[in-house]
Amino acid sequence: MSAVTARASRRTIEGDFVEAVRYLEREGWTDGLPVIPPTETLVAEMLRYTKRAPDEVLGRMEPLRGTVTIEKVAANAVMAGCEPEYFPVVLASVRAVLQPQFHVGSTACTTGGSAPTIIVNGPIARRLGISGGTACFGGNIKPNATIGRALRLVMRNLGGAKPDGMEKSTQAWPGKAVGCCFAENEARSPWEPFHVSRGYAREASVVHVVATRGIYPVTEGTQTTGQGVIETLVAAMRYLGTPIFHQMRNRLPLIVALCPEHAQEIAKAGFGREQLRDLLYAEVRLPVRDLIGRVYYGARAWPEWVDESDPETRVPIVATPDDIWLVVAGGDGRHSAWMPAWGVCQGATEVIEEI
Amino acid sequence: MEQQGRPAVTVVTEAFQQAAVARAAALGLPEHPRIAIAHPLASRRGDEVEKMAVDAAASVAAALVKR
Repeated sequence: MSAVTARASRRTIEGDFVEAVRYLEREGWTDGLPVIPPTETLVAEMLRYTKRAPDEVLGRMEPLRGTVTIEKVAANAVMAGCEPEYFPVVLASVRAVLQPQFHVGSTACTTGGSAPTIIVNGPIARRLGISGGTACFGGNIKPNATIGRALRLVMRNLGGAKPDGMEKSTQAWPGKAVGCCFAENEARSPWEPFHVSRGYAREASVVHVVATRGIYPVTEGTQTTGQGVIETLVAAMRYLGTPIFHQMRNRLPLIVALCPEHAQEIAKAGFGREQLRDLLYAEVRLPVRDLIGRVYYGARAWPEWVDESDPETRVPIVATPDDIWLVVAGGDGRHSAWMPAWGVCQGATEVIEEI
Repeated sequence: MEQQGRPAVTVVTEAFQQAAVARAAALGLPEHPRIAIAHPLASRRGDEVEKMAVDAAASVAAALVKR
């Protein structure tokens, strides 16, 4: 491996914009989509949105342990198409995945095809136009798309997990290409913002990031009582084909993203966020008889209390109600979703540093 | 372990050989020995895994001693 340097190398590319883009593709630095070439001018504009020095080292990106500097993150953010004012959100997301309990190297290499999901809370979401409304998971909304993509490019280019190398996803999901970044729909949530429920000040802007296996949709377009919506949600999440039921001891989070209509009906039925989380923890369980000999049974990580000799023992989807990240996201309509974390990724939170 | 002076060998399934090479190089251990076993592993029964371990033991030992 070459010597560690805190500054990114400079290359001179002959030719026009398209030739520069093709050069970056040939070097293996893109995700299959065209990128904006990270010229010194564009990277410098990005760097204006942080007080940190360009050569500050944030850490090493697993699995191939590339040195993550502020400047290299900025270059990848330019390539992803970010506006400079998005940079604080990108940086916070990168700092989150570098936290040890995120296990970013595992998430990048696993056959499980996990990809980072970024939830943005706080005033910065409104200011930048990060959507928590209509089509927020994948609606070609610029900040959502480019911030998610920037994190994936940083992971890919500095961590080095690429197809035909250490990227081993059996199938992956589109989040592996451009990530998945959305804001909580705080304006239409019946509850306090998610980050406030986790102890952050309302005026703070925060990212919660976790590597997820995909987006599992839950439609309920007939029931209009909160209780009816909850029943459908619980039934949908008692889903055998996800290994999360076998991975409880790894303390994996589980995102439950309720659309505003479902959330409001559930709140009207008398549920606060905490009560709903407690109910999901109590009810989203599968009996041991369904889990023995299936999915990831051989690698199960169950606590002592799970009595395998009793086929009716009900195994919860997560270790504690706290591991359920309950947020409100989406626009009009009756479609919610859940996103199980993958493998050993416990997720991470960072406060967004604004200048 | 190797960096701490203890001989080590990595056992991977065939599907992960390329990944193991890349990772070893990234850790500055390009010569790190590697034993490949059949893929997949996760879906095998305990007794099958045990047999694979027994079958691989001699080559693991040889790789450790050679170094």
